[in-house]
Amino acid sequence: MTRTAALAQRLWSALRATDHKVIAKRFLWTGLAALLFGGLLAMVIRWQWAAPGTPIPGLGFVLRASGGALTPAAYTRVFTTHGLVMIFFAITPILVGAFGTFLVPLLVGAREMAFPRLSAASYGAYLVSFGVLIGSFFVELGTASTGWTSYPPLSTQVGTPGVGQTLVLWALLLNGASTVMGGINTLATVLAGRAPGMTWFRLPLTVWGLFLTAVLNVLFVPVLLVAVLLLIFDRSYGTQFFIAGAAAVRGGGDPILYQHLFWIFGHPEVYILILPAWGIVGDVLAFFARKPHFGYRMTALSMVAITALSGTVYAHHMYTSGLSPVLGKTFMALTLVISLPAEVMTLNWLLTLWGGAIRLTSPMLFALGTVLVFSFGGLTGLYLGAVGTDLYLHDTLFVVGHFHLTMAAATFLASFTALHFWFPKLFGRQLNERLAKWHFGFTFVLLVLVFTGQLIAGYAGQPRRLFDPYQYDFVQRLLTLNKLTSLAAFALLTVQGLFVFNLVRTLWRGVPAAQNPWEVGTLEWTHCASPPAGRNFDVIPTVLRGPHAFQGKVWLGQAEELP
Amino acid sequence: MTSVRVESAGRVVALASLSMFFTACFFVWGFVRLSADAWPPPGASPLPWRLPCACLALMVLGSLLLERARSGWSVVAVGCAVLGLQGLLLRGLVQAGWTPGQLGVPGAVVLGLLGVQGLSVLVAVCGLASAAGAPRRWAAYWHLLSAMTAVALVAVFLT
Repeated sequence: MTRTAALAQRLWSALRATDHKVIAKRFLWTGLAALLFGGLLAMVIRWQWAAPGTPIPGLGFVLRASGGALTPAAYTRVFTTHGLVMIFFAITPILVGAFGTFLVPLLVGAREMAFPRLSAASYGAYLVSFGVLIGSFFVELGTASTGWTSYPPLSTQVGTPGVGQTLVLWALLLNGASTVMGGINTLATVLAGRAPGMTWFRLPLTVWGLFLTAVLNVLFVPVLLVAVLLLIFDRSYGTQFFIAGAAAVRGGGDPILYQHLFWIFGHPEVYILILPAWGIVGDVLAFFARKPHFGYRMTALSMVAITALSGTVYAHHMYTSGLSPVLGKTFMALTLVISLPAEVMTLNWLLTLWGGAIRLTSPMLFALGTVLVFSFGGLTGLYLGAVGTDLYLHDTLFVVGHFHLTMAAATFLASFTALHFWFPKLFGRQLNERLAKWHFGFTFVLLVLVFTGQLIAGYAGQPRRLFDPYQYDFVQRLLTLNKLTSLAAFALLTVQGLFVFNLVRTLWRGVPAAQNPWEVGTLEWTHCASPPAGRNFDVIPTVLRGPHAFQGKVWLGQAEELP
Repeated sequence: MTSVRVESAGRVVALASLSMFFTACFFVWGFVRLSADAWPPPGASPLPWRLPCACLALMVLGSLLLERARSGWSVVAVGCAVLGLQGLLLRGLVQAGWTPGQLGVPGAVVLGLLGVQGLSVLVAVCGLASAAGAPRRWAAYWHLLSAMTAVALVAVFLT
């Protein structure tokens, strides 16, 4: 066999791989690449707010006409792509695609995902969608420039001509299909693939989080798909579902319809991103406090309640769209109600720590960081859930700071919690703890600085998404604050070098990991090698207890028989 | 993991997802219908109801057959008949002016819903034809389409 033929054969067999561990790693690497890409775009935005109109070092070869400075058109493309990449191509694939695909079979005691080929198809659709999104940069008039929400009429041909926006919509369609496939797979695995004895209230909280995320994905992503499909029809086939006013003929449609459809999906999307994080944090806090999760059932049921309520609060994103005041008050009440189960969950996390023999390992530090930034971000959400304060804060950087704390900082830290905790199981090696702790310390402080800076600027009235916010006199006095926030953001990107160094060094010549280095009792640690062998378990274990049981200070395996 | 349990769990979840897709389509219909100043829109004739009723009757017949039949071919025939009726309905609607070109959004929504329904039935027909020996596999999907046809009849054609 020639070398080319051998290479082709290897490539073909790699493409046909259906093992959940292999697919999960593909999601992880692609998601991390997307995270880096989205992070670099964020730095470009921060540069613009710190030094508007000045050339960005290193971008002269891309923005030749302006000598490396952002133009208004390039700026809108950058913040649009930043949002889309981070939400649909980085966070969701890392938390749901990578950790969901890797962990669900291991944690419930299954040999595989329910539909292995569907896992591979899900990754394939995600990869192609990412390719289409990147490809949209290279067409005439460039990529989408309408924000991650793609609100019409701006996103119709009337507001954004060119193929780029249409390609981005197709990328969203493909990405949505990938997400639904992944959701169906996760749900079927948890519903029908659990090991004997693995009852609902013996599931690790991580599985609860991933399961409920899958429920939301399966139910609400189709609504986004309908909105995107109609927008594609408007752009490409001459319909006018979302075009009104002077651009419309024969009466036209209504752009508000898109907002309804988008936010029916969009608010659950917040929980799609954060539910896996909550589950991971709930488990890790208990593992490293060396005591059972306080109120395990209440935490799980709180997550269920939040999932159920998440579909009923969407219109709090539309208070300024001309929504009826009665509806506004109704959605405000529902929004505030959803904070109750979130409070129960947060209190349970704190009470899990109370009196525990806390081990400040790197996953534990990241989990504690997640709790802090999520709680901080969650509290700022109350201002936006209430109609009176939202009318003032709407479309300011306060909103951006709020959702970055909850959706970005919290999920970012939770992703690192998961990565540090399950790294030995993923790769059979142990990340350097000292480096990981330094990475956490810098990252946590800088994340808080960056997004607190946004909250303050927003509270002072700085509008979001403006190319040059300093065209308004009242924003000019915020320039120093924005410069400091941008410096913190640049430092945040720089310290990620610690993680990259740690990752590369560990993969290259890291210390081999033991089977159960953290001394915890869930199935992946007690019954699988690091990394797990082909079919995960030699014999499917019979589960006897919950994930956080212990005897004295020694943890008991979920399937460990006592003498 | 037994394959039957996994398959049925996957099927239920996938149908739940599809139901939300249909629900979102009906939401669009409801939004357009409720925001219209007059109904039917000026220049349009009332929507027909006899053919949609016949479609629903055939879909229900298909559901009953799927619960009893050992072979899927009878339901394939029913599905083809439904597609034929939908073709007639489509032709009638276009002739009556229910098109995006003449009525704008209301025309686009009606034709869009009909298209979604037609495509869904076509998928069922193809699926049943390729797995005619195990028609029960497609029963839940067909029942969902029957329910969707009933909702469409009441919400779109009779209201």
